[in-house]
Amino acid sequence: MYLQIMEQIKQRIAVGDWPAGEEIPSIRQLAVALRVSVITVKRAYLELEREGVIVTQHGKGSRVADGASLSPRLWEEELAQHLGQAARLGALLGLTPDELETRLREAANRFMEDQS
Amino acid sequence: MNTYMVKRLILKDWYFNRWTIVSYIAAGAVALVLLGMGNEGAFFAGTILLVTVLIALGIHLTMATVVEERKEMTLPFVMSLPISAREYTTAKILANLLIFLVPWGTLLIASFALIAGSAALPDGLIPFTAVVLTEIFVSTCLILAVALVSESQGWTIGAIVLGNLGFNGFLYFVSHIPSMGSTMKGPDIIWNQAAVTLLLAELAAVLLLLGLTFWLQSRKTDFI
Amino acid sequence: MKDLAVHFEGVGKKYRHFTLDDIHLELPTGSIMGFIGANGAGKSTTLRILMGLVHQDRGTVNVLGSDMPAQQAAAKRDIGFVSEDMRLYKSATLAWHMGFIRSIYPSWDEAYAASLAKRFDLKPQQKIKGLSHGQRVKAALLLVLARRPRLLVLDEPTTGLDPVARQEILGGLMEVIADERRTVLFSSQNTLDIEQISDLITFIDRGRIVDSDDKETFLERWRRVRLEVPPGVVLPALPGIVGTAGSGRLTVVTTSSYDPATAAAYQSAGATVRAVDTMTLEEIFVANVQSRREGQAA
Repeated sequence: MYLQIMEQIKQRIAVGDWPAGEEIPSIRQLAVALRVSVITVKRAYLELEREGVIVTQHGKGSRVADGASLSPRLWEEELAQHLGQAARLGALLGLTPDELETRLREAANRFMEDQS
Repeated sequence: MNTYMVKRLILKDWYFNRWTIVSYIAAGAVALVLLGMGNEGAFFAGTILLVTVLIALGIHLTMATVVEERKEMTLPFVMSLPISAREYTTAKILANLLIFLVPWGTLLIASFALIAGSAALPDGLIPFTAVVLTEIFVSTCLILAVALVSESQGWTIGAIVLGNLGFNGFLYFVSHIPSMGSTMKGPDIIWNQAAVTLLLAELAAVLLLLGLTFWLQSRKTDFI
Repeated sequence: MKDLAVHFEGVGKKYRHFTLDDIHLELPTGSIMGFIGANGAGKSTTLRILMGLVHQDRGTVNVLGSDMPAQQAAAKRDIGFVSEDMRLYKSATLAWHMGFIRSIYPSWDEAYAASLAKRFDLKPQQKIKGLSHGQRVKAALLLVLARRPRLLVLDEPTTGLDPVARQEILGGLMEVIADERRTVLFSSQNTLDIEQISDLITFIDRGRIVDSDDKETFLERWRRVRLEVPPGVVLPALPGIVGTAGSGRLTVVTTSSYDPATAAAYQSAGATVRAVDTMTLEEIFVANVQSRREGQAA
């Protein structure tokens, strides 16, 4: 459960809801908002701090860590996850790595077209 | 003793039983009117009604305020309030007896006045009336005590039956005491030894019952 | 010295057909403890002893600094209690009950009460006897929540409620500990509710506390290890193994103290670790209780 919370927080940061340096809700506040036990949120915050995503100052609450490299790092993580998923699904569907690569290129091109 | 909480609990019980209380008071008033009408038939009817009101009021109120709490499962709600068993017991006893004593006291005095003022009724009836009416008070205390300590409908009904039998037996017993029987019909109010002894015994019984109730309640280890 | 809202030490209570034995409980201020047990395990008795409604035969009970049952009147000023066998006065309205509680507790918050009534979908003018079971539970909870007690003690608050109502109640309970000076203890048969919001979890079975720890530790410690065991391989008897099941070459070991060394121990004994699965609180509870019952029977 704490992993899900970590994900949610990282997404908020990645999307820009919580910019770098910004104060985030206290452990208790977030626990109440999400209806999840305090101890679970506490664990999530500890892990996030260990990963350097947030910074907690005793008595002053928590805030998003400074650093321009924050978003790209989170995106890297997410990309790695998605690629892993794609590889698994490709294998299940019986695609060869080349076929999978083709699919990926198609998707990337389609995305570029939609953007313009 | 938290008197504020005791008052809150008493008022709650009175609120929930307000129509019952009003009805009995009204019936008692009717009994008074009958007693004062001056003819023997009305007096007889009035007496029956009066005694019935007194006995029934005690029973009805005890069942409604004590036995109901357990039957309706509201006892945990009451005991979750900031009170101890002692305050609960005090509130129940006061709620019941205060209501009971109002018509009881009124009717005691009113019947004295009627007997004294009426030419048709020998004044010697007064001590007899006092002893008999006080017996009803004792009986009511017994029912209340049994209800509080046993919290059981069965035991309480048993006490009611006992009280009823006791009352009839008592009436017979008292009117057949030679010194009581002879003075009853006379024109003078005589507080002879028999009457005084009986009254003192009755009051002692009330104190004993109430004291025993408090003691047994405090020794309960399972209040729910 | 921990600041404990509730402290049971060696508490025992004997009934004719049931005994509560050696109950030890510590609930720090500011946390939520979930109390899980089967019917008749002793949850309700324990909570009644906490409230001073039942006197223990042995042991000490301290709640918010007051000894129970001796100082129960004082303690109950700061405790809100709702139990499954509790009813409100049928012939009165919810509004009457709100007024009654307000006249007793100065901490009653009328605005909060009104907002709770709206959230719980309750009409104060309605008589209690006209309410459904779920509405009556919510009404009782409203009465305790609106006066903001320091300790909330609830015996099966979500039993019999629909999922929407349950989430409302859980939300209400969480709001209580938004203030870190307030504490919640609730019992439930619904392990999902307990798993969602509890910080600490206590298992009770047949009158004894079977396990008590914080939630994350439970979820971390317990695992099901799926092994492929070739013939001739003997599995090492590791500490914390609670149960072993399986047929043929597949064995599932349930352990209450998993760490990476466990998997390594099996590998070096010659077995293949196919998977290490986490367990839900319900699975942990059942495994815990079953193993103890079997242990006692043997």
